[in-house]
Amino acid sequence: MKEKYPPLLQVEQVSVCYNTKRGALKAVSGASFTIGEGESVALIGESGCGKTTLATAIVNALPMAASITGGNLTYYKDGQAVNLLKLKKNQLRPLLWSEISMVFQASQSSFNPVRKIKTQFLDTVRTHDRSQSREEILNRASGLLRVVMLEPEKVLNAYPHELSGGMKQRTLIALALLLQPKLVILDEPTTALDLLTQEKILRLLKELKKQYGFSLLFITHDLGIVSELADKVVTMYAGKTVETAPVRAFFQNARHPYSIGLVDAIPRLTLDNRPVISIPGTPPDMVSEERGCAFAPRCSRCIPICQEKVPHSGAVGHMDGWYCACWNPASRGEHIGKDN
Amino acid sequence: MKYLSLAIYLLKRLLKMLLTVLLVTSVIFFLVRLMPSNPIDRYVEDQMVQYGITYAEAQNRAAALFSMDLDKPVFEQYWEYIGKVFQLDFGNSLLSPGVPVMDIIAARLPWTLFTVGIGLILSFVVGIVIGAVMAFKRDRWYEPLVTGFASFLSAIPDFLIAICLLLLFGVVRWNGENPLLPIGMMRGTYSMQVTPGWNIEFIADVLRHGMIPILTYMLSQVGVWVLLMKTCTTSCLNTDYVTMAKIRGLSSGKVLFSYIGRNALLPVTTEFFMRLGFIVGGALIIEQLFVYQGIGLELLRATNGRDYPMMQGIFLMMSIAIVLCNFLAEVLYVALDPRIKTGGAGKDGK
Repeated sequence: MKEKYPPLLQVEQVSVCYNTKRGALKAVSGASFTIGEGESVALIGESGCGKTTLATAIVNALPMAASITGGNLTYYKDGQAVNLLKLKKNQLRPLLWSEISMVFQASQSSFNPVRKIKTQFLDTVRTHDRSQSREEILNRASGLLRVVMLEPEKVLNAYPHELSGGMKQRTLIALALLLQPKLVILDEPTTALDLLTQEKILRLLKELKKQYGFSLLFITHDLGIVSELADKVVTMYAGKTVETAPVRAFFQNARHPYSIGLVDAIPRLTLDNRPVISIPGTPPDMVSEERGCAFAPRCSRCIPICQEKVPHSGAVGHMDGWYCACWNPASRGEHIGKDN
Repeated sequence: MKYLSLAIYLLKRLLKMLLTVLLVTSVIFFLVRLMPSNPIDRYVEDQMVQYGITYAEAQNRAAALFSMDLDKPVFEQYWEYIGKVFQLDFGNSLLSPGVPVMDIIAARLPWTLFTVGIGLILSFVVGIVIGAVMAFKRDRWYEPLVTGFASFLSAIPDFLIAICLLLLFGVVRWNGENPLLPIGMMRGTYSMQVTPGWNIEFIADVLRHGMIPILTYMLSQVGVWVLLMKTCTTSCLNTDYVTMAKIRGLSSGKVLFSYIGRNALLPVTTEFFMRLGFIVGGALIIEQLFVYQGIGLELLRATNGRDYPMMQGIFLMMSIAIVLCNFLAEVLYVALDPRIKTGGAGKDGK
């Protein structure tokens, strides 16, 4: 079968540890998934499951206490495979932003407070390409700002504190697209915004994606956004990628009990009185030594082997790119979300 | 329009500063007179002890010397003084009769500005650099040592540092040779045999005399800058905009100066200007210890002799300097940080 999306970034068995007073905290352990060219991948999971850590690991912006302890991040630059983790700092720097850009969760403070927005657009381009003139850069920036429905004149000459939250978010999206990167990472791009602005930004992202054809990796808690924007859903639990599924398959027919739990936890605007089901218990402590499946204590489908051995990711279902790490996955059509 | 409101703002600030200085001057006027004893008693005591003359004789001498009538009602004296201050007449020194207070200050102040100022600038520069470096290397083994030493330095009183330096440079015989500096010969601000002016010998001599005081001021303040800069830089390092700048692929130099340094320097700059105001006051104990003829030593002398006009003059200078530097700090802060808009500038004011 021909792959729909040629791979752009392969995340293979990536592990990230935080050094804490209690010992090494395995924020991400053996996460794997692939982002194809032009594909949009959603990364979902509970707070603290390692989504942001994984995303920051891709752009080499982990905090000092964190270190990548294993795995490969293979990026395909013009068809050539590069392992981002093996690159030296000055080899990686040219790739950042021009190939991979990222919009932060805390985009409210992502701009240098003492410099005008204009300056921050200018120095971003100039770092990567010295040949462009000031006018060229500002023209492109204005164009992008207009695309995100902002007034370029006003925004470019403003200081960050003079912009509202939604404006900053959109400015940051414009900045992220400035160098026409192949991959844009969005860490909870709409969390801090009201519903109307959220909706606007989502529509915008869809438009932009169509227009510029970049790949998208976005982290979110909002499954509504996932259904609107994603081609593929990666579910993380306790630092592991427990299920990777095409978006339709995920919503209709997720296989991992945790994914099922996430889907069932969404309230629906239909007339049936099906209760919102939450997942009992809390995520495990990621410092203590693991034994068995991390989700086992909270899992309704737990069988004896789940307590003993860590499940490995394997292909499930009939569709391409559907993987699940579970000893006892729900079979097709078994769970209650299917009739939706 | 913009300039007009700025002018109004500046004028308002100037009036406010004048009022502050006037208030301080008034308080000082009464405070110095509240100190026990008075200039004449002090002079009489001094004469009797030093020259063994009788009380009556000493009083006669004093009467001939002091032009000031201290028996006048104190408020009368006050109005007289304030009136003269507005004509920029600060009176004559009592201890050096006939010499205007401002002449003495003009002769002493440059030396204090020179030593304390250079000490402050040196400690600032060295402290900022060390503090910033320590913020980056905060996971290394030597970071706690350096930071600990910085807090140690900022905790010990400056006169102890001065005495240690005196011992190291002026007393200890390294390898059995003579001490590094002949401190016995080095009283004052420069040696007698050199002629003041822009010549090499004079400048070298001045530097040699000022070296240990400068070093003292530097060492006693450098710790504060290290700690302050380290804290500010560390908090900037963890901000989203710095992470973002790195993700944007900016070079580390750009991130260091334009993103981290620029923001970390904001609180440090304010602190610098606050301290700059205090250099006029000098360091009384240090100047006395080194017999350095600066304003601090003069203030000490004036206080001992209850030289009211002299004390008032020096305190006036100090308050002007502090008020002015606070104003400078404020203006500079507005210029450095766009988030702060002063109430008066730009808009119609408070």
